[in-house]
Amino acid sequence: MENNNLNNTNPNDTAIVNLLTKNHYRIYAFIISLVANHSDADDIMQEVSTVIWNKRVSYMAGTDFVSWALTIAKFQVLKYRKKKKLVIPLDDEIIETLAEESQSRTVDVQSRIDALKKCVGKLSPEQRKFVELKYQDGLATQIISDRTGLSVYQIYRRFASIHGSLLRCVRRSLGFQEISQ
Amino acid sequence: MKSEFENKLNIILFKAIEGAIAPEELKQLQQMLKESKLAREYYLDFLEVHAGLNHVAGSCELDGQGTEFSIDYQILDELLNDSQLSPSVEIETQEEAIEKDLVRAEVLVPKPSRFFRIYSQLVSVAAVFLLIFVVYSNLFPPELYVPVATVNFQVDAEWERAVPVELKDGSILYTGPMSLKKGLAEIVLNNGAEVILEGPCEFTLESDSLLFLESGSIVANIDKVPDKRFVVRTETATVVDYGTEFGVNVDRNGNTSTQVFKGTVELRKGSDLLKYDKSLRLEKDQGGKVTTDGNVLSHNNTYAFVRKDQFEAEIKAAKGSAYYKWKAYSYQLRKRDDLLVYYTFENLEGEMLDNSAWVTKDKYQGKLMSSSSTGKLSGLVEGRWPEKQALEFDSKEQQYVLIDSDKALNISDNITLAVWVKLDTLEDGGHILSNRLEDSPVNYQLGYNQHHDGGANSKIQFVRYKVNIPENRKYSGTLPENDILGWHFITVTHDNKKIKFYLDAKLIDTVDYIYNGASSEGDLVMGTDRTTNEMFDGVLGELAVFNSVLDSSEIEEMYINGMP
Repeated sequence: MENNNLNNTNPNDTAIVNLLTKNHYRIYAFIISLVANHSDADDIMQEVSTVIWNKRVSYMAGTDFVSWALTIAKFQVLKYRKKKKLVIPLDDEIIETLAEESQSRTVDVQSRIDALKKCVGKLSPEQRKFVELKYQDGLATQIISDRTGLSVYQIYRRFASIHGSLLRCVRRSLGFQEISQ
Repeated sequence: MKSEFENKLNIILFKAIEGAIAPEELKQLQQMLKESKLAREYYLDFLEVHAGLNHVAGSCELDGQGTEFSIDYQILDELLNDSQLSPSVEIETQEEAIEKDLVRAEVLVPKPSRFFRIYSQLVSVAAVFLLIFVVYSNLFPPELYVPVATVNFQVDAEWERAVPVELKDGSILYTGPMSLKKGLAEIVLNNGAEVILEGPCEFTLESDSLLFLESGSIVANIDKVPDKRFVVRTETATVVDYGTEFGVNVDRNGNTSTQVFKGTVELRKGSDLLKYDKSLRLEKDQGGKVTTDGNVLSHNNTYAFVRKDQFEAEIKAAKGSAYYKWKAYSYQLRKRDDLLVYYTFENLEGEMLDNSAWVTKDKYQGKLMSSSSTGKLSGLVEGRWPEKQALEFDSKEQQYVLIDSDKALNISDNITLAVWVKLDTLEDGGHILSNRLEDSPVNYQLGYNQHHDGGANSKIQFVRYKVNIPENRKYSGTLPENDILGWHFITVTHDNKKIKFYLDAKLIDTVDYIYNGASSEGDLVMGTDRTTNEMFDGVLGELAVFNSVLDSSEIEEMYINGMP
């Protein structure tokens, strides 16, 4: 796991901001792995950012920032779950298991991102267009459906396929085996 | 080769991300995640791909163009549209403490729309970042030198820090900071918003729909683009239009005021586009203020702004029109806080005459009246210029204008009465104005060539008394015929010690008159005084009552800007 130490001093505000920026993807990925829904993940990410900022004084230089942030994120997910109904209401037991397994992942973030970027480059032009519409242009599925003439369900299938392709490509790039059942 | 397991799981997971998963599918997902470590690995990888796509797309890395943050103001506009759906927050009472923490978990944040999913990561971090302006600036610098607006018209404008350096009507304006040192300018942003800038003001054009006002005043008119928000940010506040005309002022202390002339705006505490914890929804004729210490208050300041009609008058005045020169000056004059009554005779609706003084706006409407058997009322005639109107009085019809008694108008202290009057014959003239009730003390009275009253012929008369004796009626010296006929500007001031009589801004007489009387109830009457039957023949072109003593330079300014 990454170790984001600061040089023997408590982090100042800028340092916390930098750490948060640098590790934003990792924290977000962890949160969405526990809630499985982008809307809840976005809300919780905001709260986690806020809590990290408020608790910045208590962050000790020389400790693992990501580990500290993921612990905060996990508690925020559980807190969020208590006050609001999650879109995907996974059992507490599953959330705990997913949190543990997600935190124990060993491949560093940058390697995953680099691999993903290469894999996106290997998509077909049509698949890339779909990715751009959703993730770059930020279009809702219904709007993509309207624009492409495909049904919403067909759009789900396309993205499911694209994600699957990217997932396998990333796994291959990182030296993992594909799973099958 | 993809397995059916993968296909099925991919669709379920994507639908989960989208929030479209069916109950049965959720049940299957729970089952898989509970029982299979392989399923959990796949699940985690799948969601990492989703998060990764958000990350690289949000960082503009899909096409390998680098990792620097930038902000799309078009998308910010959409966010602001979306935030309309968020309930606005009631203002706390002043007694309530204002949260001092920069960031609070409980703070109300406009929920980003689905359009912002790409930016959700940036936004959530920005929720912390944006409150630190320097960091904000570093993360989301406005793109420099993008054409976003055009100079429409300018009057005596002197620019600084502008790109290009010399701006003319029609010049393109680019994103970035600039200042209007003096004069007026109207710019049209590419989204259609028209913005009048009043020098001195400093501002930054951040996009074609976003302006950061550092100091000074602007008025924005967004009637033509009702489908798109125009936003003004300042150090202390954000003003979001909802299809309207509104003014924004940042004063020397950094407080932000806004005034709505048409439509609706939302005044939000803080300059953060995405996050705010107090807001005030303002409708037509309402104003608000955000102070530097974070208070959000109702605050009406209509007269502080240069609106379209004044700006157009300034443009025409600059082109040499005497009428518009007066009109442009008149807009400035009516903003004086010592001007209680100001009749320009430009606005007559039915029998009601509008008062144009801003501080008493919507009060002191004058009602046209007549005491004659015919009941014929005064009528509008051509004034000092063909475009200008004036009110004509006929003594035979005993015409007058009545403004009901009001304490603020019952002035017994410092006062200035100023009137443009036209007499066609030496038989014209008489009682122009008084504030009194029948058989009661006179708070003030102005007469001119008052032959009807005997003894005041060819003179300006000023009356103030508790006891009606001839010594309490004061007069200027006798005026030559040329100073009586035609248009003249009569001004009288009284500081309770000396009465000063001015004709066409020239001091013609000073009369000692110590007056200590308390004010009495009294109607304000122009024209024939039906209580004393002091009559008036002639035309009034403009009439003003100040509760202060204007000095000679102020009177001269009124005269120069109003002379035919």
